[in-house]
Amino acid sequence: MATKELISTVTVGAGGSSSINFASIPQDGTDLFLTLNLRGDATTITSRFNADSGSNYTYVRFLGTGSAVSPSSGTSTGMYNAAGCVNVGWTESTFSNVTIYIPNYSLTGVKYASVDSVTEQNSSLAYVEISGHKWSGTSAINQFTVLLNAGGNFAEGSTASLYKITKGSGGASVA
Amino acid sequence: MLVGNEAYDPGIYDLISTTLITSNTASVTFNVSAFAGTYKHLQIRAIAAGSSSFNDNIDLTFNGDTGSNYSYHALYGDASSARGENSTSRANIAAVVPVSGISSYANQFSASVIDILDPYSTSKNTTVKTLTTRVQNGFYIGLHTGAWFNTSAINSITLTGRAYSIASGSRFSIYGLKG
Repeated sequence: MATKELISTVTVGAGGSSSINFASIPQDGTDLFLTLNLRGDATTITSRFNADSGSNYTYVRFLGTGSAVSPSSGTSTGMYNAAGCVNVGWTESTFSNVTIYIPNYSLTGVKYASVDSVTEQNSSLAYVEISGHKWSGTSAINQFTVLLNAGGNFAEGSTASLYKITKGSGGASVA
Repeated sequence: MLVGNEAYDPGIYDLISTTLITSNTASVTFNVSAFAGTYKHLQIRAIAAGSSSFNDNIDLTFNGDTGSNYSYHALYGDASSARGENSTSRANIAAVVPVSGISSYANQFSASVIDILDPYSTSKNTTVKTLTTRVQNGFYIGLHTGAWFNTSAINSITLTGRAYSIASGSRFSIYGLKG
C-alpha cells in the first residue's frame, strides 16, 4: 500500500527569512508534494532543486491578474511562479496558497513539477496561476529551496510543508 | 494489527467526513474546530449539481460570516476563450461551479477541489484555492482564489447554492492534511 508522510514544516520566524530550504530530503520516496503559504517583499518566487541556479528550468504557465489572462513559456534559473507569495504591501495578514507536485523525485532523469498557485488581496489585482515545469538536472532531488525572485524576505508566519509519497508494492511496472 | 494484514496507511489527506446530499438543500456546513490540534490544512473535494436549469455557483463562507469580508479572483475558460475576474468586499467566495439542471443533465456533476491552507492560524486571513470544472451546460474550467479577511481560526465552512439549491446526489468530502 502506498504511504504518504510529512517530512517537515518550515515556519518563518520574527525578522523574516530570505529563503525556505528543505535539505537532505530522504531518498526512499516516489513523489514529493509541497504546500506553501507565503507573504513577503514580492509576489514572484523561484524554487530550485539541489541548489541549481543555472538556466536549467523550463516553464509553461497560464497567469491571471483578476482581469487579464496571459499564457507564456520560457527558460529560467528556477521554477518561477508569479502567484507564489502575497506582497507585504497588499492586504495585511494575507498569505498565498500554493501546491506543488513533483513525481519521481528520487529517480535519475529530468524532473517535472505541476504547480497551482494563487495570491489574494481585497483589490482587483491578484495573481492566479497554473504552471508546469521541467528541470533538466538528472540527479535525484535531495534539496528544495524557495526564495523571492527579486530578492528580499519572506515575512514572519510564512510556512512551507514538504511531504513524501511512496508507491505501494502492488501493480506491475511497465517499461 | 494482525499479522498478514496490510500496514496501516496514515495518508497525507485524512478523510474527516463526507456529506451526501439526498434531497435538494440550500447549504452544507462542516464544523472543523475539533481538528485544530490535528491538521495543518484542510481540503474539500466536491462533486456537485444545481437543482435548477440555470447556471449557478456554490459559494463558500467561514464561521457563519456573510458580511462583506471576502474577496475573489479567478482564471477561467470555456471551450473557446479564457478570462480573468475579480470581486472585492463581497459576502462569499465563489468556490464551486456546479453542473446545473440535474433534471436536464441526469447524473452529471461538476468536480472541484478546494484547498484551505493554515485555517487554524490566528494571525492570518484565510486564503482558499479551488480547481473547479464543469462539462455540461456550458464547458467551464477555472482556478479560483478567495480570501476571508478575518484572522480568527476557522471553526466552520459553509457551501451554499447562490441562487438555487444544491441538488440531490451532490457529495462533499472534507480532508485534513497534517503539517
